[in-house]
Amino acid sequence: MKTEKPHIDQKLILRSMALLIGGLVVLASLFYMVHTQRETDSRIFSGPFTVYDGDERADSVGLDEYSIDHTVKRGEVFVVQGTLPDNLPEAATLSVLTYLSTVDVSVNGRACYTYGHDLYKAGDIVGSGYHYVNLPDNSAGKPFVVEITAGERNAFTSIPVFHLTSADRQFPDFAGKNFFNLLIGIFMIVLGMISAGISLGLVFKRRRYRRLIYIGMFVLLLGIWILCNTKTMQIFSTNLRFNTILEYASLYMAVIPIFCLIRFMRNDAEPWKKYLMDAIVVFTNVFAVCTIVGQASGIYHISNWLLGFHFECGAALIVYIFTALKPVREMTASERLMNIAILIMCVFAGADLVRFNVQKYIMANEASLDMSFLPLASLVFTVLLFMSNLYYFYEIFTRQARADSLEKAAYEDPVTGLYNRAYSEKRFKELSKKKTPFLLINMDLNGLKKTNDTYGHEVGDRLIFRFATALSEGFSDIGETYRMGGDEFMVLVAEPDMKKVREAFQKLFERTEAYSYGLPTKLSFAYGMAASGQFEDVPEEHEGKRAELVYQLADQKMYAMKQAQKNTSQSV
Amino acid sequence: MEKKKRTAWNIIRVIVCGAVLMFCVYSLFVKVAMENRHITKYAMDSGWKVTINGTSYANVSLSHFDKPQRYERGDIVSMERRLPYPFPYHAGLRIRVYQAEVRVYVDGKEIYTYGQDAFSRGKYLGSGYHFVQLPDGCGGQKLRIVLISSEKRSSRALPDVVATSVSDMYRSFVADNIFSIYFNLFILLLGVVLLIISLAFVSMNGAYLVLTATGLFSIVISVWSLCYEKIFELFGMSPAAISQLEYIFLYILPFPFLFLMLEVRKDIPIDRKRLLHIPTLACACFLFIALYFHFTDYMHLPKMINTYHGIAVIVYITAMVIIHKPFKKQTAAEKIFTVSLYCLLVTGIAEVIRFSLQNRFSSVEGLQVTYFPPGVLIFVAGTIFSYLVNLFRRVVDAQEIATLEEMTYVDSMTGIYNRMKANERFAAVDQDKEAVYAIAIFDLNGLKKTNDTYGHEEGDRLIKAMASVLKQAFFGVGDVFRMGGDEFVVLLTGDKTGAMETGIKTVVSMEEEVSKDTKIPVDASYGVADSTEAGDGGIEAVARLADSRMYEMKKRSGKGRDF
Repeated sequence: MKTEKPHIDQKLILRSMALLIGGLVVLASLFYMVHTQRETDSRIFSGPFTVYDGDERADSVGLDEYSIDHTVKRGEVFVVQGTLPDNLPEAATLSVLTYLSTVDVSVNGRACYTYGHDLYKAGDIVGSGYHYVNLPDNSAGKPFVVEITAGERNAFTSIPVFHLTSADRQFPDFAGKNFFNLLIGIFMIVLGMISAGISLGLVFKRRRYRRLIYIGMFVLLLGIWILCNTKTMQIFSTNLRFNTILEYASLYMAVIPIFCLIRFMRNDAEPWKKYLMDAIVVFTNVFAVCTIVGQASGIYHISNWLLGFHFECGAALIVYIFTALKPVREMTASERLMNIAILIMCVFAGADLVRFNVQKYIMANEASLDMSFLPLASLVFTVLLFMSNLYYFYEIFTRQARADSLEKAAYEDPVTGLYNRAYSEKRFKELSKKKTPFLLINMDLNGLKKTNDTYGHEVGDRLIFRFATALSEGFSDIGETYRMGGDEFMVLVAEPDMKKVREAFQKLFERTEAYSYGLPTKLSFAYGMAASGQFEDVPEEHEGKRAELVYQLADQKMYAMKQAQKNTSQSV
Repeated sequence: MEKKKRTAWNIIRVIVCGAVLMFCVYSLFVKVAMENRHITKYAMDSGWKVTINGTSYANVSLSHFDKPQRYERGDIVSMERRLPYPFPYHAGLRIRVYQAEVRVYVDGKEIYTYGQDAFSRGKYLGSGYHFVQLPDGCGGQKLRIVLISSEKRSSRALPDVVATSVSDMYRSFVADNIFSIYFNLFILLLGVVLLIISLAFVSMNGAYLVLTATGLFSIVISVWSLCYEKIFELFGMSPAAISQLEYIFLYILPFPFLFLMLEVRKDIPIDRKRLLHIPTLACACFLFIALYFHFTDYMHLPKMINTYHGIAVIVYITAMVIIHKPFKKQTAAEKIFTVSLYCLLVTGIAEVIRFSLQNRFSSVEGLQVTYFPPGVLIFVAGTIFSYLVNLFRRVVDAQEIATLEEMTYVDSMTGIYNRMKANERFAAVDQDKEAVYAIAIFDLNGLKKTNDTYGHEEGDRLIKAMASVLKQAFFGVGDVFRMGGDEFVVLLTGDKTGAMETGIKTVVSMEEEVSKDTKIPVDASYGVADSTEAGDGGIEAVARLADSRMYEMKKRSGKGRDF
């Protein structure tokens, strides 16, 4: 026996390496260009300023050093006073990042920017985001005041540093910084929309597409959250209030499909586990609906549920570990991939949660903590999720293909390749239920027994095979051809067109003539035909046996013909 | 009932998901569009006084003006008009310029220049948008834009000028191109993901190279499109850099395209594949020459576009010839690919025609809309879909073959391996003289009697029961074979050999269990032997030994086959 060594295609590997390197070089140079071609004059503007927190005053302090040692109350006012640098560009923009707060900016005693007081007074949520303040001409060296009023309790724990840019560079600067976030967010949104949209249409046909809906919805919502959370959404819309609501709403909703997905995948779990998972799904749904309804009706601001949401996620994660996880050995490959994806996402999300809280409460002005790695993690997660789903479809398809091919083998006559009697029984049952008209033609090959006895079974088999070939050439275009056993054959024509049936018979006669060459006896057969229309009004109790009755009638007719043929040949 | 309930839940689910989907579409597009509707664009199209090389035209509308000839290098276009009033205090202009040096004056004061230095050195200036910030409170003042054409025979159009407040300068551009931004960034990252994933798998199986090629193609075409629509300007790249990138990516597009053609049809004869050398070489030469000319400033990239179109036609025709196959003979996957390829072809040709028409008659409306992106999306999606269909087709085929193969090795009544498989396995084990294994032979007692008394059906049930007992008892430990009639063999190998004893104990206890369902108790005599007793006879000797032990047991118990 020859042992086969694993086949390694050197050329292929070389080629793929070359491609990989080529592709990466192209990409790297592209991103390098996007990043270096930016002409930016953006600079950090962090002080020293005088900062008032209510009546408390801190003199000449940099914003990167300034920290708030208590929880900010709603309505608490922070005022930053300072002097603009002397070397300002002619038209300069001061950019201020705030969270859930109103902003007023004045230069040299004249107000030049205000945001959010109308919302604040109406008791509505005040948006988070970047404010770009166009400074008036000749502001260089002039004093300025920035007034930030917290719109919520615990809205922020520090005042982010200001930036100065020239007005026309401000937008590209911002978009360039957020290029990756934009890329990832948009990718996830479009992918989510496509897969959810397509599978929504397919789910009635096949249950399995539900996975794809859940994955699609999750990816879509996560993509929206990434756009909003990184404030990249400001590229498209400057309505900070709406962006902020969208950020929280998409976050609260995003977890629902993922828990639905887990529940759907673990349909084989013990009942109590299923109930627990159901409970999570219901709870996350109720939570999201409550927050959104609360926001829409103005009872409660959506941002105030964040802590509750973190608890919800933590609790759900623990329940998930105890209910949905099963031993790695028992998982299928797609489940393993899926769990790896969830694990990666959990690790990253956990790390990001830590980062977020560390930045918010402990190291408020650590600039290196600004960069959230959630976008990249989400991208990896998305890709793994889709791959796992693809692999799941692959597994199902393999199983299906296997079952199909086994079934096909079970319904095939091994000698002729026509369908066998077992398949006819299955078809009869199907046809009896439906109302489609059909035609049965029973056929009986003449002289098989005599051939078998005189020339042996080999010649008899050849006879059968020749006839089967002729039959399928004649009829397989318009119907199904069967070998019912021995010398009996049958043709089933659904919704018959008699003209075509006649043509098929013509062809069959021609072929039997032609294929008789070299055989000891000429191929000939008797046949009988019956149509379902002859049994239109069978009694109710025989309704399921309609096809059977048609078959019997065809059989009787065939025997009559056989008898007639015998009589003729005898008389001759 | 159950089914109805399930359908109801399904409908609810679909409605909820659909509603959320709608909400997302609304938030991302409708709401954003509504937000951006407040962006005021000031009409700047008409009322210009244009002077071209000393010839003046009064009261010109920019979008309806065509210069009699194309611009030559050094042609000076000066455009003047008053800025509207009222006008935002902080205002900006967006000017679409083709390959020209730009100067903008307000009230005689120069406020913006682009490309003066590059022009004098003969460098490439690029086409694109210039975002010009106007001085504060300049409404009603005199605006003068001076363009100096930097290339021979460039366009005939006048620039497009849009005025907004400075904070809306870029955002109005985003609002105008939102779908293009979504579409192209999606294709770009899709290409990157495809590239990385497929290359991770490609060392396992060459079939993944189709995905690699699709990924490369997607990247190149989306970058070209992002440059063509000048979307990269949003991220701060200069018009010159973007235009260069645009043409470079356009000129390398044939490579991933040809690569894709090569990979998508594995069954192309080798001599037809050789035909590909010609266009590949032509493209490589063209690219090299184009880049050389461009960077030595002998001839800039856009000047070679007509040559490129010629080469592109050759590339396309060769590709079509190489992968040609009558449509009827194509598999489903190939048909999907062919159709999407035609989509790309049709939209591509339409794009080329549109491009040249726009170059010639820039003032005709409707020529600004391009239908190429949908064609690209269909092509990329079609290629991926065709790949998946092909993959699944192959799975089905492989399964069918595996089933057929298996059927010759499987006993049809019991579903366990048959004598043929047993012989094969024995021979394989016997290859290694040092192999450790154990064999047990089981013989069903009273089968003949059952057949005679209760009929063959009952006998068959007995055999099936025995097979299932053996299968369960040795599951995951060893192989069970039905050698024919009432004889079964169990083979354990390697470190599983020790499990024979527990296996047999399980069989004995299970026999009682299943006997409840049969008219005659399921009961088998058995004999065991292992490789330590092999001697020189190998596995055959061991099997014979087990067989004789089985017979001894049968004799002892008085249940002999024919007694």
